[in-house]
Amino acid sequence: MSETTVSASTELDDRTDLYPDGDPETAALPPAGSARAWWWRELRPLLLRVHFYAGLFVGPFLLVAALTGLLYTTTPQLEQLVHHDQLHVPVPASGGAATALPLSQQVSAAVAALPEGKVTAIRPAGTPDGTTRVVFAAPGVPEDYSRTVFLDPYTAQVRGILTTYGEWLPVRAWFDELHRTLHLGAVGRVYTELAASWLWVLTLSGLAIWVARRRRVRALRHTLAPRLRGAGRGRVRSWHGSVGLWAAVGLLFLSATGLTWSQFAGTNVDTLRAALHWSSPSVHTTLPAPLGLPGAPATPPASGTSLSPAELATTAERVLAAARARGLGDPVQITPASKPGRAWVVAQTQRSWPEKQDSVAVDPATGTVVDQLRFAEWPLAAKLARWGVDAHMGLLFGLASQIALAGLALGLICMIIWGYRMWWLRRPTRSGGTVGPAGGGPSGGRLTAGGPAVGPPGGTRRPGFGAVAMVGAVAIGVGVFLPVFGASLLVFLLVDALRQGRERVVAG
Amino acid sequence: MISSIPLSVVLTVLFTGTGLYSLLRWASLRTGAASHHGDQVAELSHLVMSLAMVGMVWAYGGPAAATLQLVAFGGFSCYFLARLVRSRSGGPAGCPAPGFHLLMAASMVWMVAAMPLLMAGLAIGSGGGGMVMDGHVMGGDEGASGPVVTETPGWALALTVLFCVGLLVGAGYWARQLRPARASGADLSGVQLGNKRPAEGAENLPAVEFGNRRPVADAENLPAVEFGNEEPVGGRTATATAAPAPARGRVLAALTPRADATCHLAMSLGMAAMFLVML
Repeated sequence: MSETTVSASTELDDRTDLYPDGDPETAALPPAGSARAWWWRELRPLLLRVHFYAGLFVGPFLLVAALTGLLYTTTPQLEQLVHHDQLHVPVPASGGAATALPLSQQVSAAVAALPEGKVTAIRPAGTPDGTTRVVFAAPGVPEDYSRTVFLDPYTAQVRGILTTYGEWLPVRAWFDELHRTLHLGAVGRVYTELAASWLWVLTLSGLAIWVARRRRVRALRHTLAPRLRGAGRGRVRSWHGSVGLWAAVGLLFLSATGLTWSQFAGTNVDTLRAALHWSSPSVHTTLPAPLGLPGAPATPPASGTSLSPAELATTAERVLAAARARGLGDPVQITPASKPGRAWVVAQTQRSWPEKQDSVAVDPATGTVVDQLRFAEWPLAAKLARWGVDAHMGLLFGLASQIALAGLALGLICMIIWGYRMWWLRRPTRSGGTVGPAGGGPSGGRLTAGGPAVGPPGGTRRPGFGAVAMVGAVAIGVGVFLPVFGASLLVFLLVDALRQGRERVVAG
Repeated sequence: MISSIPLSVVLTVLFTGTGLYSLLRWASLRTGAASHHGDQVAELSHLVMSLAMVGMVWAYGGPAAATLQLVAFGGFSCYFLARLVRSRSGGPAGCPAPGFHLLMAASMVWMVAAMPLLMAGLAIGSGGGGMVMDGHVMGGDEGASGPVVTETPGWALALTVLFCVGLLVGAGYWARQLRPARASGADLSGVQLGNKRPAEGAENLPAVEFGNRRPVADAENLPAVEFGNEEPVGGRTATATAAPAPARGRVLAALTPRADATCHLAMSLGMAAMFLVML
């Protein structure tokens, strides 16, 4: 079978079926001999193949993550809709401003409603029509979940008791779990880690291929905007590339922040942050030892869980008053001491801009503030991490964040579908196509006289030794830090090696 | 973690070197730039082994890493066993020295799986931090509440010594290959441990030649490669090409059967040393 390499020129841009790889830029490479030509000639086929194979195999995981993420962006409104009764109360019509009952009274009512639970947090109503939440550790509740009693702050009437995940009510918790684990537990977390680990690889490789390609053919418009006319793979690729270009920063951001939550890479990120002193700071809760002064307690204050309901309620009120005196406005969360001799913590919980994350540690016996930490004093890296997490969750800028995230999710979904569409259009079994040697062959995927280009993108050229070695070295370093990426990459390479070995045996 | 820092550094340098060499070897095979035959899976296994050994030296990892290593090296063991069986039955092995590679992969499985037993003598109580190499100890914190093994069982000791001896024998084999009179490319790329028969037969080794005149895949895209090896290779005398040697050409030229043997020798000795340290 004789091979015919078709030379191309930029004006034949639309005739993508004429080009090796379907890419006219193959013929638009800079003159051989220049430094850029050397490294790019070696690197480009590798990037094409990485982008193609990673997209092909990780695409389903990314698609699921994007779909569940898209659903998650709707949860703030959904939560308000589904749990309206637990979240809102009618504000009493009185002459002046409506006055809430003392917090102690509300906490007592909550404890009476759930006597088998132990109070782990108290969230006073943050708005006039909001409810007070008292969070309990209760038997029979799944790990990481709690039982929360919602109270009318004006009447101490229980508005509902729900199983919550952090501050999320059941509906949002369900979607959150779906996005994080597909409700498959620890095993399910691997899927998100796999998706997040490869998203940045796909984004960066796609960006490099797209920008370099279009820069060469000097068509800025075609780089930034998709082709509205034409048909076939070229047009689909134009949409894939242009949308990817615009979404690139957002996708890199989602990948980076998503990895911080992941099971294995997340541990490494935490270790790194701790080593660089980038961890989110927290107030010191160790109480100073009693000095034996008159009035000082003889024994360390009891923990939150060992107090009687009445003591707990009055202590909560005392602690909140101390925090208010230090300027902590709503919304706040009061966390009782986990063990004797520790302070209670009152922390602001506003995760929308401007973030309110100040916190104080209060001696529960005396109401004295023993430590205070303002968000303004956080290290910049810790602030960035906080903002990053809240932006990823669509909280930072409220509705604007939600819309941006939904747009990113939709863009990613479209890009995945376009990617598979391109693959389908150049599939090896396509009618009229001639299957050239595969990627491992001497001219894998080269355009042949018998039909359009087939084989994987980048199949017309072998990646250079230097490029493979260099990218391999980088991948090792990254793979150690992102274990799921490293393990999946190893599997890819082993499958590829076995496939090549079999082809060689068959050919031999 | 090994308590001796100098030994840790030596082993780290050793396995970093073997890992780097394996990476280059794999890249040369993957891109078709290799001057002689090889097996990508074997090179990848060397790479992973080297990384795992460095991880073990510095106790980097955790229970998940240990599980992952068990799966990976178990898989590699199966692969090399299949290659060994295939070569024994007269088929092409597709992999140089499958017996030796099987031994190495099995050693890694044993090293990871049996570390709690092997490190028993060096255990540091039940403080919750696991044993000395906590990154590879099964149980970790959970082990704190269980009984602390203070003595390595005899059978574990015997099996470890057996692996150690095997690795040293392997090292001796590779050292013998380094002797100039026996430095044969065909030998090194085609033999299996204890079996000098070329695994794939000369006719199935299309690239076991230096000064390669076979049109390498996509030759027009390959860098000019200088094969500087003047040693007799497979009964032939290697010839150096006249092309100027760019950096990558020099790197490729360094990937010789002799370097392969050195790498295997280093890995064998390093792993044997690791076993000894653990005892």
